[in-house]
Amino acid sequence: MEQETESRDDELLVAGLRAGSERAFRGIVELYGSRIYTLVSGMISDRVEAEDVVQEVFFKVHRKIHLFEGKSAFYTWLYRIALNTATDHLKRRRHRETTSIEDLPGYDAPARAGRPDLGLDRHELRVRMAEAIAELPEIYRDIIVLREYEDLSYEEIATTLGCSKGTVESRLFRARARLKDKLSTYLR
Amino acid sequence: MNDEQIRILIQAELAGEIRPEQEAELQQALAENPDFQAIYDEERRLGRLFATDRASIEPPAGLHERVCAGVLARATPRRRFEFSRLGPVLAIAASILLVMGVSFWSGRRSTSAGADETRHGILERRDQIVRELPAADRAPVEALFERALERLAESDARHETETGRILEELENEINRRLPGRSPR
Repeated sequence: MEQETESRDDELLVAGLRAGSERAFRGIVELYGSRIYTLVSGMISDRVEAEDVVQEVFFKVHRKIHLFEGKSAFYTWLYRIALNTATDHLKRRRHRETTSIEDLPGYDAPARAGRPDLGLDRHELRVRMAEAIAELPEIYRDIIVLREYEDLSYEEIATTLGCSKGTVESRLFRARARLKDKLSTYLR
Repeated sequence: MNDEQIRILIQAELAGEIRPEQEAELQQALAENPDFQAIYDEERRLGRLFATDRASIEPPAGLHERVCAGVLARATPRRRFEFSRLGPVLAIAASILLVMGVSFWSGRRSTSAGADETRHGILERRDQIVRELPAADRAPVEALFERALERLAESDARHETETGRILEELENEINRRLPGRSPR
């Protein structure tokens, strides 16, 4: 029922935005802005960078709404834009970045990581998680952020990414296996 | 049941995606093989790590307002250039440009080529300035550049010398709004 209502809201807002309504655009940002921010933050820990990406996502929505054909749910189209925009951002960042995670201020080796007695800083965890996810191949990265940060069901993920539910399960398994290696110090 | 199969079942259970027949299969496997319990615990710890991290993500205050302001400021000037509505005007303009193009054919550098270079320079300047600004302050500056580009497009057809004046005004406006910047 809640999904149906949401879907009707989406339809109205999309129709409004197509007609050039600023109010409809604001409605879409109100409805999805925080979710897209959370999704993007799964891969990008820097808040300013994440906000820039969110702005770029909604700029694309505003500019390309005429390309949305309405064959799938609006959120799946929006999430695909968000994933692609975040991926492009990561590629550009990698291109210009020379520092690694070990060069970050305050990094004092994995020995401290995951030791509650030494205090696991929330920000430190944010940085490590986002870095680990950002380093995954794109097909695994998309699955992880949609599942763990956007809390989509397997069915919704399959629809968003245009694959089968079985593919979602196996990619999720591989994505988590890779992350377990990268985050092993936090899992002891 | 191998490692992949048991983990997929565990992950489905933790995600609330497991079907009843799979649940029975999982419980039986956990009861029969003590190693699987360790795998279950590891998967649960990873799940908790995600939950902790996700809970620490808080969208910044004013996010929606800034996104709307930024996007609308970037998008509005572009809407004025809806070419489909300008079809007849463009057709006339194209004819005039064709005549002008022929008259400039003698090897002189065309006005539009010069204007393209100027536009390119403005876009580079915009990117250079915007990169240095916090996200929240970018929209008005971008709008400023958009206005300058629009004016340039109009002036291109009228007189090339006006370009210098517009650029000077733009530079002055930037220096006025962003004090402390050294002149270009």
